[in-house]
Amino acid sequence: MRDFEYLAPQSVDEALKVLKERGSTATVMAGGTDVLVWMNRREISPECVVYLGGLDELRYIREESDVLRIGALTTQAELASSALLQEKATALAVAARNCAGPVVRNLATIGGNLGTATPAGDLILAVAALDGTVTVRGPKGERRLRLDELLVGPQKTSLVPEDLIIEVTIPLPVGKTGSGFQKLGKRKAMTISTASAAASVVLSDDGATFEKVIVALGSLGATVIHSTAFESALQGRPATLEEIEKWRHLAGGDACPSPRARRASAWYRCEVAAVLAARAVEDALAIATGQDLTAQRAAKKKRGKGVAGAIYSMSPPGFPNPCAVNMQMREDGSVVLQIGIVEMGQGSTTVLTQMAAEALAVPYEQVTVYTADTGTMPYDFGTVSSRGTFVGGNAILKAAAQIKEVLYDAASATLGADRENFVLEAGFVVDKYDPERRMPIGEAARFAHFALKKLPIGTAYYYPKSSAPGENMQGETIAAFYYHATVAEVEVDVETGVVEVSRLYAAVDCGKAINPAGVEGQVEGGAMQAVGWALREDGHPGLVDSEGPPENYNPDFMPVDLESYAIATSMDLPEIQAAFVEVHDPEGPFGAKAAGEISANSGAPAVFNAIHDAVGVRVYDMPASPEKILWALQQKAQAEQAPAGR
Amino acid sequence: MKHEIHFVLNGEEQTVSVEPNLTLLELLRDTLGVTSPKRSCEQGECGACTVILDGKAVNSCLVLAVTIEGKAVETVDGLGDEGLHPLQKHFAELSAAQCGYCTPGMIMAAKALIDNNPDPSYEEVKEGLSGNMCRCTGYVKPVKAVLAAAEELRGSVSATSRED
Repeated sequence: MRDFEYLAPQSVDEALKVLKERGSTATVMAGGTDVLVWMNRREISPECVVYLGGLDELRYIREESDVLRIGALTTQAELASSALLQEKATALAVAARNCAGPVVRNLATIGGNLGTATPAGDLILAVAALDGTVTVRGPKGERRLRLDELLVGPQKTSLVPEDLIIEVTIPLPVGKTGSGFQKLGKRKAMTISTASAAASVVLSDDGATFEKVIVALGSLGATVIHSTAFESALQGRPATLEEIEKWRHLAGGDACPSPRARRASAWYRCEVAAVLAARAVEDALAIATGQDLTAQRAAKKKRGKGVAGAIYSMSPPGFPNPCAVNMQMREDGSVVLQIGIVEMGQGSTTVLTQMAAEALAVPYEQVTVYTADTGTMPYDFGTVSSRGTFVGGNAILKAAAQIKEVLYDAASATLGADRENFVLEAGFVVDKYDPERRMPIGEAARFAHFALKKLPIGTAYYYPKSSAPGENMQGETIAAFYYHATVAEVEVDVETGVVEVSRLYAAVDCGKAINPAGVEGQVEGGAMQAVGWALREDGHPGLVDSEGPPENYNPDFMPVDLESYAIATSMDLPEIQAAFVEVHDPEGPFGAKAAGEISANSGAPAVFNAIHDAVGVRVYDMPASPEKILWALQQKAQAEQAPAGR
Repeated sequence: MKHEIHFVLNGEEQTVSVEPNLTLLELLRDTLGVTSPKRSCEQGECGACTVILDGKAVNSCLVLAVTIEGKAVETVDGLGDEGLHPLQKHFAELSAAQCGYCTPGMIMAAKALIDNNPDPSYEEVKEGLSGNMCRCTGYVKPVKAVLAAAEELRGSVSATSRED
């Protein structure tokens, strides 16, 4: 971010004075959630930033006779949690709760959202549907603007640099009214809308007819679009869900303005615009009449279950896969292990420590693992291919055997029994035939060091069997196989193609689970990755499918940040049920194998199978994005309608 | 031009001179050496830099340091008067951290959540953590850890009030 002059006025009057003096050299900053990002990316480099955080007089939500007044510095979090808005301007409260995530919502303000003027702005859309106006103060005094007067294009307003947004005013019509907001993005939080809609209704006194309907569509044009055709079709008609269903096509499809293919194809965005518009009006109607839409909404979702299994091998056949370790027992019985298996959160250091401690019968706390330094570590092939536990553990066991020999020599020389009699047990070298004959491991180590002049050191090299495959790919080519299975339950929204994983069970055969909590973590994390690939993580735009929806693989889909490369948030996953099956592996250290990569393997096919079970369509390339599902559903419906014999 | 600011960091008063283009994240990490808030996207998308500012969880990458005059900043370093805070304890006991990069930010988002809502539901915890991206855990253990910590804190609060 480039340097700038910082000004922090403490009142509206002072702010207006500053803006008048600085003119177009100044950039106004409220919450900073857009402006600072642009400055960080150097998309803008203002000479002067006027920070409005000190204008406490602009933080309020209040009801005055027939209007709601909302100060420009009110945050999204305050809007979302306002009981007043939830009751009287529901669309705005719901929109606020759909903005970004809870952390950003503590910073971002309604005035900032209006000033930023993005066509995808959630709050803008709600204000439009609620027929709100914006109060602006500038060199020529105060004026009130309708949204179509304020917003003139994408990221463009009619404001001059000297203007300040002061307030949003929302009229409160009397009688039976309600409003609603609907948003569809790549995930449930931290997402910019693919399409969105907000609506408000005023019903006749008897509640039987739509007297006034406002439907605003977001993300589809240069600014907020009013679906006037849908609005006027409903006005004067019976206030029922059937009427909304009957006319909703007027808000989308061919009636939709042609949006750019951003975040989804233009085709898809227009298809769901109609659905979201209808649902926003339904939400508004439900509030006006006290209806419950739970059953109606549930009927649009189809459930299905899917299962898939996976097999995975430790490294490809014939791949060199050795691991070397240096392990030393110090004079106090503590253990130092040098190994090239790198900890990156998978828990390898914990597991290697456990195995070294177990092999030498010392407490976990007495083992220190040094890793991740190619300058000082013995050779390791790499922390890849789900091999760390298997090859690292086996190398540790070989090194431990060398250390034990030295400790047995020391015990034999000190205690007198035959060295073959000794074993390690809970911190002691013990004569297995005469358990009273024992000495602490540390003492044995010290005696070996200073009396026997033998160091308890193990230097070992483990090279798993992985011979190059012979004829017909036969031979002892793979050291270990891992197995995994997932059961997924999904709910598919047949109108939007959105798939939600409602339940997820995943199990791995990891051999002996050295660290059960770590295995669970691998299974849960793997399941999350798999669901991400299955449903929303677009890796690259290159797989052109001519049968797919038009404009589908637009280069705009190339992920450039954590918004476009949409990994799941906590809201996008069910509580994953992880399990492990401990089938002892004869080659594995303590019978252990692995739980890492395999845990991501069967989740996506299970989700795809569940989608097929739910709605009878198959998508063959990941991710099964809502538009691919909806396209497949429409193709299926057309095929079923086609006359027989064709 | 540098501005002198005064603020409270984890209970201790601080006075520093900052350039206006320094973010709170940069102030904490680069000027003051408090590296628990993590630098990642610097776009307000990942939540790894989350700190509590005057009682509210915010992305420290989206706050200019110069704007925190007179405010109180909490990072994970300030948690736990004696030993670990229940959130830290349950994150550790349940293995709720894997690579750990998101953990300090997630714990601060969780603390702000349970400070304001001591008895959150499972869904409320999920929503409360939805601004903090985690690539490792599938959020299963973090959500459990937050619920366990909230329960423990409620227990200690009611125990205290009984003594009174």
